[in-house]
Amino acid sequence: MRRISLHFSTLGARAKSLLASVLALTFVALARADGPLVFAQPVYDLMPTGIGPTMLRARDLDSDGLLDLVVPARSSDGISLVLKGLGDGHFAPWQQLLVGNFSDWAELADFDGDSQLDILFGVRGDPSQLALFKGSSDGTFQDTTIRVELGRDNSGLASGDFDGDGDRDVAATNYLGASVDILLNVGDGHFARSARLDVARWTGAIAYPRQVEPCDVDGDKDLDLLVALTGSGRLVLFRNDGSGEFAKSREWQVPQIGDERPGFSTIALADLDADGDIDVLGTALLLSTEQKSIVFFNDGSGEFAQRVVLAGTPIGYAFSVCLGDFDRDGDLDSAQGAALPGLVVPLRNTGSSTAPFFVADGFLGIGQLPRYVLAVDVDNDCDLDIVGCDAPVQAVFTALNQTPQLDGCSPRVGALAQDVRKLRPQLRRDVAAPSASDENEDGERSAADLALELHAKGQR
Amino acid sequence: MNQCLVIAVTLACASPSLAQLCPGVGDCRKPHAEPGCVMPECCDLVCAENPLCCEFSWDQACADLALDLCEGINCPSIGACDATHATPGCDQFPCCDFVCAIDGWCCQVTWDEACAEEANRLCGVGACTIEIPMGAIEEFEPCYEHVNDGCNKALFASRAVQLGPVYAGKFATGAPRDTDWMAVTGAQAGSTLRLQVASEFPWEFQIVTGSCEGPLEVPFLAHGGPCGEAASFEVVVPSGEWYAVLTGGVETRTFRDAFTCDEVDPRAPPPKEPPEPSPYGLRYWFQLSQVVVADLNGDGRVDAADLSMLLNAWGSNDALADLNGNGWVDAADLSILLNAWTL
Repeated sequence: MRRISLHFSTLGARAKSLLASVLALTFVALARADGPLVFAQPVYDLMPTGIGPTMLRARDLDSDGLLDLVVPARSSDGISLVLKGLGDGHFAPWQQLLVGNFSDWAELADFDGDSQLDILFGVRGDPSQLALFKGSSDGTFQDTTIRVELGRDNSGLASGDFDGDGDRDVAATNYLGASVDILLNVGDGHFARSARLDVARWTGAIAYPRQVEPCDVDGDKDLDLLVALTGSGRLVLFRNDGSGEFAKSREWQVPQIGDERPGFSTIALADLDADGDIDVLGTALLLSTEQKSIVFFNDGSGEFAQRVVLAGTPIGYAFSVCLGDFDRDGDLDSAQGAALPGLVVPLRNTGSSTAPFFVADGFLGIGQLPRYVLAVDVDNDCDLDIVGCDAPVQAVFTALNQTPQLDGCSPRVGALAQDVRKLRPQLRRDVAAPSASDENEDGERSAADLALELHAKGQR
Repeated sequence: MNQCLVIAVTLACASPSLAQLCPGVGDCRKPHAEPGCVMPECCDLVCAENPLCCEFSWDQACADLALDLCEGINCPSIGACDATHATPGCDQFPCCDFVCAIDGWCCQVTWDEACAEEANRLCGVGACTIEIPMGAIEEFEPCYEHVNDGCNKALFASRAVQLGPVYAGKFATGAPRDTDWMAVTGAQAGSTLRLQVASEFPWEFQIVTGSCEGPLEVPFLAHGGPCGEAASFEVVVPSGEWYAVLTGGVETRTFRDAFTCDEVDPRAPPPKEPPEPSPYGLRYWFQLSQVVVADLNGDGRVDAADLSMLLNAWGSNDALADLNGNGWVDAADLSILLNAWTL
């Protein structure tokens, strides 16, 4: 069994050699039309010292035709960022927003009904809060001072019109409180809590709900909620009755892989089997083998009994995931981030339209811990690039897509390469290898504990 | 008298000692403009070390001193114990101390809804013992073991229980906390069961349906205790696979700390410094029984006593005796009762 304390510097010669050769193959290989996914070596934008980005939202905020980024962050000064997209994969500092404490999530939508995009930050701390920043037409944001108290340690947010009244409501995970708050918008960006939904009260382990995502899983035209429990390794569904009232939870366990129950930290939603409903792709962090992906297939009624294990990142510890058609062949590929060593692995979907099958074509070397990855076109060349953030290294990175696109779109090429570890070596030393104590208090040291420990990296 | 001396004496008399300035306002662990801080003991300690903290303002240096000197000192603080407030701790020492013992968040972070709920439910409710009914079937699970923890173990395990008998057991926190899963036999889907629970700790009782792999649901959740009369609930038996799960908790949160097992695990000898004893006892009993239609007094039989109750309610809208739920106690209800008569 591989030791939990694995660190890049402790990788065996064989693993290093494998990593180096696959990297080389990836970046140098002449791509063929039906060949591997090809990405330029990532470029980095370092955040101001002390600001560790935790999540990204991409949108053209200033109408210049280029994607900009909203970047919630962990900083002792309580600052999160807005970055201006330059169109070449780089992002320039634009605005610093004083949200008051660490933030692990932001939602970007018109919350106050003035037709401008606003930012709603989930602010961790004592107590956790929602913090609303009002957007203007020039892409800048002002603090509204609207604060709404949340439960114990917010981790994720989801927004959508839960009660059908035309405005954006919010669901917020209480990471330490094992619950999800439902906050209904009164129409002007003020929110009132309508429910606190418990997750997995029966468990011996601490549930740790990390991420919540809205989607209509059962085709009844309202937004249900899917929640990833990192502590107890379960996918949880709360069905909406259409009025913003949610039924009691319905839960599915992450399947055992070999002898291990994987750690489960992140999910991405999409129709992965072309049957018209939303399925769930999650990362499976494993201690003893290479990492895996797990697909929870929806049967159309919101039941996720069919679970399939697919390839994940071949080394490292899987932590982040996104979906996108990187080669425009009509099916969804994935990009997944792993920690220790920090890397992103594009996973090409070689399956049929109804049965995804992922193949790892190569690695993209990243700093430490890609907490969040996103598939968006940052250079306006019609293909999807990978943008992500690495909180311990305090950087946002972009890997431009250079895969020949099957529908004829021409990817832009020629990004510069930098090694972020050389830029911030002191930060690399600061990040200790995981010790994997019994974080979820289930009496065992397992992959779930390592997933929880990775989530906590960069905390005070 | 020298005028200067008079002024000096007056000032000295009017100027309170540092101790009198404690407690002040503001969180001891965070800088604030005013002198002093809310926790008297901590305020005293810090101001003895740095009088400026009680004379001018509670700056970062004072907050840092508080972090050094006041470890473990949390109560009393400001804010009513039965109401939420942003600062940690609350103003009643015993209640604050008790709630923080079972829920560390309340003294480390903020006095939130769960803290206020725990204070409302539990402060002033002392430890107590319950009488385990004669003939109760013991769980025989030492509280350091986890032999019936259901989906919380890699290999599912539960305790088989039947309708009728009283079952007794123990709860304890730890890693993991104890969760007792019971597989109930002899209950027909759709029928109604009466659940009775008594315990020495605040309990929560859940009906869990489905399999560990999923889907798994919790259609029923109830809370009660500690002590007092046994709580009684009615539970509709779900269809398919289901379990009754008993563990510790209040409405706002489950318990994970403080309910220390009182038995010695031979594989883990007790530490030199034994943990704090549990604030409550650890024992519970419960009983699941079939609800008998028309058993108005709940004694498990339909007999003359029930008939008397129904006749007393004749013509009224007494819901207990209105067996067909038509809003009146009448001949139709009498007919139901007579048909259910226990032979």
